[in-house]
Amino acid sequence: MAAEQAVVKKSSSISNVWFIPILALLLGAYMVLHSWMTEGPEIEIAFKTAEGLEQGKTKIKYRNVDMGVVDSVRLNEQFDGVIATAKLDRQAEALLREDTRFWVVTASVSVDRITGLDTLLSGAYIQLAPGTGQDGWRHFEALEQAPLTDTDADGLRLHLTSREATSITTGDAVLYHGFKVGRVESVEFDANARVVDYVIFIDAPYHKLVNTSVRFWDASGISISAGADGFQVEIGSLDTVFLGGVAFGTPPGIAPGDPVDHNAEFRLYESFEEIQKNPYKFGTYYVVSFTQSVKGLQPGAPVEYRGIPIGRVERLMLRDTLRLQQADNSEGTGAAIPVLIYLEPARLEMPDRQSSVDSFARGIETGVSNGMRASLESGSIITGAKFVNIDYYADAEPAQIDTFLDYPTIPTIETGLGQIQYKVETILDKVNNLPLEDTVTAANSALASLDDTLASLDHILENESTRDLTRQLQETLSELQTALGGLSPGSGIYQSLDASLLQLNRTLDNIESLTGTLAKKPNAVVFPTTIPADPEPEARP
Amino acid sequence: MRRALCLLPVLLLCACASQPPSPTYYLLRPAADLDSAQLQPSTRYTLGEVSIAPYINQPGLLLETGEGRVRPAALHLWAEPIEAGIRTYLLQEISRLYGRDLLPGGTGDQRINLRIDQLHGTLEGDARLVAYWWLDGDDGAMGARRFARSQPLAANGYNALASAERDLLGQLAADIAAALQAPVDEENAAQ
Repeated sequence: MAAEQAVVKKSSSISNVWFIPILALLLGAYMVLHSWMTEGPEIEIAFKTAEGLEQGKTKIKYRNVDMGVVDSVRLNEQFDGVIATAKLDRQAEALLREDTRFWVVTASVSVDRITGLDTLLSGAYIQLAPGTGQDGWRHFEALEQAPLTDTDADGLRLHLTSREATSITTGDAVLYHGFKVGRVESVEFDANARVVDYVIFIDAPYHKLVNTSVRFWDASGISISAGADGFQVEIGSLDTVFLGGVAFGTPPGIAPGDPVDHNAEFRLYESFEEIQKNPYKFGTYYVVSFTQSVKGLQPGAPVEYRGIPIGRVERLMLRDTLRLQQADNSEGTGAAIPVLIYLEPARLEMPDRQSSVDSFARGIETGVSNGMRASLESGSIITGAKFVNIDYYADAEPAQIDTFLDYPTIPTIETGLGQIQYKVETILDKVNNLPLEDTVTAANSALASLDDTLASLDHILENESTRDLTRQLQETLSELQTALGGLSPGSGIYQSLDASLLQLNRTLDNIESLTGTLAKKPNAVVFPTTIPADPEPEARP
Repeated sequence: MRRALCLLPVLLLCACASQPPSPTYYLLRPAADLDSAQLQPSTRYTLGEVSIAPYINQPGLLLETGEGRVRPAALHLWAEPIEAGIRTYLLQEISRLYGRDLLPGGTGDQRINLRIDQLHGTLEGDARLVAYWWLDGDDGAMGARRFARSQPLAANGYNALASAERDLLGQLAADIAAALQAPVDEENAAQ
């Protein structure tokens, strides 16, 4: 019996024990991968203060969906603000763009609205408003307060500028015919341009109401005006009475303009009355120089073309003239006084746009070569107010458009009193040149001749035969009357004449009969004519 | 040839020897008895214009020979121009029937005007008279009146036709005289 021999088997190279660490490794790798795949971006947001911000508690929300939590809050390096670091969800990655905005939402109570009441319980949170710029941004500067308009809201954002500060503040309404169509987003004073810049936002679809022809004016408070027709009180909506507001509209008589883009600039007028005074947007400056007295010509005086107002006088350019004269040592030469005028083509019913101004300027250029001149006219004899009139003068000396301090100039002509003086002088010259002496001599001679004639007439009238003439005339008329009496229907002559006429008629009848017969029978003169028997009238049976 | 030349004067003389028929003339005058009593002139009326249609104004009496055709008689003529004859006849007849003389050129301020439109014999054996008359100066109160009547001929011939036409003119005069205001009113008015 053979002893059993042990069979040596080669054991497996890897122990089952290793299964556990491998599983752990795989799980770990999965967790790392999962964590890496779900982990969102980490961002830094700069705030002025950390009011309302709490580490690990303050949430970042977009459309009320939690996007992340503030991890830490620390002071910045300059110590003039804080930087909050926040970890966001991965899906927030796409929202982080160059112009993405953040602000802290807390409970806020103002005159016109109450917002963020829910934060009283839940605590403040950071609102995210995604932008549309370049993506991949991680550092942001938070807004001090919530923007009034959503970033993605449809509408139109415009800039209004005003030289004077008004009562309009952020949040005020923008009105169209009294209806709220937008709001004022911000008010800033531009120190360089020395104007107040208002950013307004007009909600869709009302932004279509805005075009290049509309004007914006301050519609705040109550407007009281007194005129010839009594007192007039204008009150806007209650909002605007207490809070102020901006109104806009197209001035009457102006055609709608072209659509405008975002951030277009408009002037903010003080009131609607100011717009009515200057309703046009486009215009151009000219200079007219007068050598006569400009007394009574005030800034704002009308500039007219044949009685139609086409602009206004801006100012007398005395300072500029003085400076120019000092520069070229021409002081004391009695130079003409330049007057700056502003002409608006839209007043001549041209469209209120730049192209009209260009075409108007070309028209002026052609007009000047054809005798167009500016003149100083008296508007009122009582007040002595003057205005500038533009018209054509056929006898004007040739001239063309020049420039004065970069302004084009329109040549002037002296009219009014000066023109009258010239005309009077011309008439006096003509009177002087009349051959008055010759005329008087001839007239004297004619009068002498007339005297002679009248003397002759007297002589004739005093003559006996002339006096007898009237008596003779009366006698003649009396005889004529007697003679005519003989021709009256009862007279013998009349009856004789009547009988003669009767005879004549009968003869004519006979001639007519004869010619009739001869027409029918030409030889009737020689040969006997058989007159056909007349048809016999027959009595009724 | 010579014989022919001799015959010519003979022929001509023969021609002249023939006697043409002589025409008959008719006069329009009232048949009433001549009244020597003088009528007083009317102070109200006078006879104004008497006009006749041009076709009537010719010497011969007119006879209708067919539809729309008349023929003036060549041998039966009015003794005076028909216009004068009608005027004289009417003046006398109206004056007689009215009782006042409507002298032309009288003091009457109302003028009786007439227009004779038709006066001729018809195919049916009638004489026809169509006339219009009106007063001037009565402010149009009366208006124009029309007279249109026919009178059957009493016998054949133009004499009967002239007589019938005279009768018709007499009826017209009677109509006019009847339409005028009575002479009594005239006197009252004068008083």
